[in-house]
Amino acid sequence: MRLDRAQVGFVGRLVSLMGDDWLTVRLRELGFVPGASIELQSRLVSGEPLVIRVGSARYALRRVEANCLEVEAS
Amino acid sequence: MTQCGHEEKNLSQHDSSKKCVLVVGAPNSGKSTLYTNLTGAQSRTVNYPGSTVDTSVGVSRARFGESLTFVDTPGTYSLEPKTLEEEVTHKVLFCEFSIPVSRVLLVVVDATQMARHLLLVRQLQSGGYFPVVALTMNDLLKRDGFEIDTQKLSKLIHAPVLPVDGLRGKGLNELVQALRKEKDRVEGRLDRGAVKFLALSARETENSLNESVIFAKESMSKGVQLRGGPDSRTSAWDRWLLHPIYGIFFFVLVMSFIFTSIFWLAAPLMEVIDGGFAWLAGQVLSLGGDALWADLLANGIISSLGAVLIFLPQVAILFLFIIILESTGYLARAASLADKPLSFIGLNGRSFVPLLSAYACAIPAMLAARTIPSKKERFLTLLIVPLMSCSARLPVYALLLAFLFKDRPAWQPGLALAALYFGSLFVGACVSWVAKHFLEKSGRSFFMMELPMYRRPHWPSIFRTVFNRTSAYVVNAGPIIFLFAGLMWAATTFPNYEEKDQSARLSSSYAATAGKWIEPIMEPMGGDWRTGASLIAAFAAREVFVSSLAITMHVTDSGEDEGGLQRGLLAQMKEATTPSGALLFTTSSVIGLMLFILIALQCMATFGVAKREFGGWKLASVQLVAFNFLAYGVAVAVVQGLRALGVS
Repeated sequence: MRLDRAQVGFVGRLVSLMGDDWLTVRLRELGFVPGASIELQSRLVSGEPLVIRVGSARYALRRVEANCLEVEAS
Repeated sequence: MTQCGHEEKNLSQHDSSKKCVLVVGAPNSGKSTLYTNLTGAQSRTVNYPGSTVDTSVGVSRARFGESLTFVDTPGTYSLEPKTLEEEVTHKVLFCEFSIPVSRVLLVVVDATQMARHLLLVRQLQSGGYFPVVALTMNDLLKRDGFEIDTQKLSKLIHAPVLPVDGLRGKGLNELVQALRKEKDRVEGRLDRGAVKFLALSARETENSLNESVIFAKESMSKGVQLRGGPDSRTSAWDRWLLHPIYGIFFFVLVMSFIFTSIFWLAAPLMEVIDGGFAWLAGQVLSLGGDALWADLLANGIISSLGAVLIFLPQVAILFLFIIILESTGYLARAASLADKPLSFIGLNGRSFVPLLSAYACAIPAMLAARTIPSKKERFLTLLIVPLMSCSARLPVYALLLAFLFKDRPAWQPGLALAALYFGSLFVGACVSWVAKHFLEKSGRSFFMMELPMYRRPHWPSIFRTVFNRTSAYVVNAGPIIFLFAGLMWAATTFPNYEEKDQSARLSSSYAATAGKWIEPIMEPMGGDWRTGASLIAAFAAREVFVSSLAITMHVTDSGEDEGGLQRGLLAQMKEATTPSGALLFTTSSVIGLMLFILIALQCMATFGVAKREFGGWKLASVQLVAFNFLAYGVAVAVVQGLRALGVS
């Protein structure tokens, strides 16, 4: 499942990154690597940005950015 | 992002003692705080040739022994640049640079984000650099019962690791010693060959990060798992502050509080400054009598100095709030909340900070736009930044509103001022929305905003930053304002400076002669040569409008210095008439003036910075011309419209 489809409160692991390089390269550098633990903490008004915890870091990602993240529930 | 091509440079041709230590680190790593504490206040900014972003160079404080020169670089997540700021760091590291740099550099790593930040250390190592790691935010880890074994970590990553407390200055002595030791070791023996940028493949980045995660886990004491992270407090806060409803409510509350406090907190200070300068000018005049020097000193120098300093409280207060929001971690949340609405007009959540800063001054705001990764979004932000109501407009609004709402309850001008502020936001949104259709489509827009942990504000460092930014502002803007106010005095005093009758002296002055030329242009918006000349002088800086109007109306001379310059000016404005005998300042002409001030780009300093930030004259000139024509058009339309409706 792509992370942008997940429910708030989702906890799981990152399986892989998909999408354009210019998005996935930066996502990797920010700590979004396969195997990382991921939590969808909240969505702001109108559904984006999404507040996502990865490892010990926390980011606000747009829907298209979260769509690059293939995740599975743990 | 453009790079220099070969991404390789030789570091061995310079004398080792002259080589500077680069300070590199991710955003929010505590790098700037550490740099400020290492170097003290004395640092100068250096431009990387051909780029627009400043780097700062500073010498270590005397108490750290033999001096060591540091170069602060903009925060970067990796060595592959994605924004203008990151590009500068990349270039300083791997392209020719005017300052000789050492192969040993200081990398700032946030202990709570270690795995991710170690990626940068490893990228630097593979490029041929020898990093010394300063580990910050240890207090946050300790608070949650974690501790890092720095020796173990040092062995794992093959680099010296030193825990520091950037805010309180702990561990800095040891850090400087370690840097010196490493510098002697590296530069003494193996300073051969070049440093070279090696781009990592996706797989390499993943491997490097996964390895860093393991390193981070192994060096954490207590064997506590990293999963979940030591940040439960931040999560709890975010549940409220980023809530779809309460979050917005809090955001509006914070912003309203900031904007109202710009007024009620600053007002008493401004009155003191205004009254003080008026009193001083009055004293000089009574001392010097009719002498030209007294006139120059009182009406030229002292009044214009007052014009520079009067808006200082507001600038400082807005800076103070922005810095508090930044250092506590809320600013990143505010930007996230603003991302969606801003995207409708072609902007990015990262445009929020520049736009907010623009309410203090457009110049730092334009510099803040460098963190916006997409070129189109950055250009749109740069475009509308000068439309936000900067503090220099405030003295003008204050004067005109005081005129318009004389003897009315205070909430009325307050409400009108709020309307002007929202008006500027509205005009900015319209301009951005229109302009986005003209700019080339670029799909490469991303947000990915890091939300740092909430921290308690550390007041000494906050006040130091406010002081630095405010004084930098005075140093940059002050001389121009001062110069133009002086010129304005000369233009209204000469050539018939010996004429005793003031109105005769003024009406035969150079300013009056020049003003008569533009009077036909001013007439449709209800002005005359005095407002016209003041508007032209305001191109130096908007607040000059007030001092120029005071000079063209000869306010301090009237002896009404008891209630400050403003009261004297208001009295003069009430009686001023056009050549045809009609009143000059009427409801419609004052509204027209305010709208002109709201839209026009009357600030040469902003134009200069815009040229640099847009990367050329073309867009900056388009912006300058377009906004001024738009301002004139709107002002004329409103004045004529109001008059047609019977408003005087």
